[in-house]
Amino acid sequence: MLNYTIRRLLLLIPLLFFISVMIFGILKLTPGDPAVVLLGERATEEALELTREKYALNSPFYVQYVKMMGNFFTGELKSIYYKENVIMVVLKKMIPTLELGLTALMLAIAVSIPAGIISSVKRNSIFDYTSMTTALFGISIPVFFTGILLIYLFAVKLKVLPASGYGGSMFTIEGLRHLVMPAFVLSFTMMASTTRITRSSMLDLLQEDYIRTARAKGVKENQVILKHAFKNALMPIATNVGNQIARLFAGAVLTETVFAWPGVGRLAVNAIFRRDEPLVFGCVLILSVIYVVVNLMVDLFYGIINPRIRYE
Amino acid sequence: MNNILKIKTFYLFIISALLLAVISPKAEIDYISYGIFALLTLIILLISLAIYRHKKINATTIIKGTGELVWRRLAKNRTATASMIILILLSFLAILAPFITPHDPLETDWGALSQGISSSHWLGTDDMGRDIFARNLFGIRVAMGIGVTAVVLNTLIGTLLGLLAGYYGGKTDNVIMRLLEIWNAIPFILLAIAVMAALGTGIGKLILIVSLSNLMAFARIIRGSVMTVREFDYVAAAKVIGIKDFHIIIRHIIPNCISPILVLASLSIGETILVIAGLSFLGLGIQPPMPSLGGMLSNGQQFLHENLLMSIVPGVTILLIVLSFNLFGDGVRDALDSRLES
Repeated sequence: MLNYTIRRLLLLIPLLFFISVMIFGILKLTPGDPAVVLLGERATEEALELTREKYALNSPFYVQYVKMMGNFFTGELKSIYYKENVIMVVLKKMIPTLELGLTALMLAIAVSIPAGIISSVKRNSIFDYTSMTTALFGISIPVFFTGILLIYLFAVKLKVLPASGYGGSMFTIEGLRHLVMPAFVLSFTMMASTTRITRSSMLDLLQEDYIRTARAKGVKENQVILKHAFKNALMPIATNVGNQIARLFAGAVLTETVFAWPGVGRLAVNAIFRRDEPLVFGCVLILSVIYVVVNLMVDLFYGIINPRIRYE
Repeated sequence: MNNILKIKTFYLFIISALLLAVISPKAEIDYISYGIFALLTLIILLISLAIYRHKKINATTIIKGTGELVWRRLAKNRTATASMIILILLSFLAILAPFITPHDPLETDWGALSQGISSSHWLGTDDMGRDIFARNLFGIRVAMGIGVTAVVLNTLIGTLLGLLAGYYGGKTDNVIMRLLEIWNAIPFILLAIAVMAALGTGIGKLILIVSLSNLMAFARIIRGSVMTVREFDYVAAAKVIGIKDFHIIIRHIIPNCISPILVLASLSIGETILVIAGLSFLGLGIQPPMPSLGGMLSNGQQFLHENLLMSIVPGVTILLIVLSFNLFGDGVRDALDSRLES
């Protein structure tokens, strides 16, 4: 296990290197003079020359890359719009994103795992049909449409919740009121996939021989379902939830846009519209790195919850 | 006449779909091409009706091939059939859009801003007096066209990479799969943001970025099944008698791993359409004034107080398209998966 962990951590270095090269390469595809793009059409020739100097724009690709990464790590790379170090800009927006994402994830787990278990135990019952139909709608409906419908119902018609925006920390009443709708909308899609996975893996396991054996020797039905079946179904469910956790850090761009939530996803999209090239680079790079690292942690975590996994 | 009726419905379907796509009238008003188009559609419908009736008379219980078996299973699945009918109706609505509504989706009418349902504007008008029903029909056309194109490209590229990796193995396999892993390590939406930031927006770029998004899933599944098929005796026999790799792949490998490709492709159309609608909603996909369902929703959100129809109509349409594709995909999966059971 220790060996495996060390090897995975070492493999992370080339992976991160390639990712940064690729993102840099994609952004280098921008047509036109990058100095003009950075400073705008009306910049003076001296200012353009200074920028070219700063980002080594006249040098070959690898020199530019090294310079860019150097600027990035020393905090020299500043957002054009915020006039601040891109790393700081991204990290500041991380708090609302995590509040939204983690609340949605908790909600999704709390609803979908019990729903999946009940659906699988009472197969073909009314509950099963209802929850499966809801889940099907959950994966088919666009997040922004659910959001708009909820805004119409609760903010425009009933006027009980604020339509959009961020109300401060989630531990205050105002913050919580702003959080309710976006968290529910985001969790709706998560719920759909987790419920389906829980149900299908439970259905597979409930047909196993050892379940029949457990029932035959008189183990209580609750025990059979929770201990014998559900414990073994945890693996696919954990994979699903793990994927969602990793994606969560990249921000739920659509939900954040519908509810004007000041998170990292919206920051990245707005950076494009503001032609804020350094911020686009910083956002995409930081979020991809977080995504990769969280994915790795989730992978390593499997080894702990499932001792059957043996790493050579 | 009898011979014509023996053409397989499947090929007729493909040919007519191609024909309809090639000569489908553009948004400009051109009555001659509309006339020809309508006539052809009518003829194709009549021929398929005739074939259907002919087949019903000669129906036998003998099943000729797996294709027919799968088709029968799909037809027996009620939800899959219903979703298929909805999809066919939607695609006809999309292709025939200029016939169905007299309004131009781009035409603004300053005398009829943000109206409700009326006999001249079936689903009302938006904030600039454009007919919502017409915009919706053209939106369906764009969404389904781009969605299906992107999935087809995605399937082709993913299958090719998976085939190469699985068939040649060793170094080729390692290089392809490692590269795909790096490609996959960046969350899709961020990749789309980076590409759009560098190259700007446009339909071609949208199709490009979406068709490169899901490569990993395709490549992995195809690689897996190719590696199993590669070990079979008939492949070894084909190699021994000196058939070239290319022909082995085309003749012996692809036909034996086609079903996971079909299942994955049909399951991912719905998701792809959702992604495209999402990008358009963000303003990164299809650009206004071209009507797109996602863009209409984002516009509708701004006028939520005044006109609910502006958001309800495109939203329900996206839901209907994606739901039908998902149900259809589930049907295809069930039909192909249970092939071995009975």
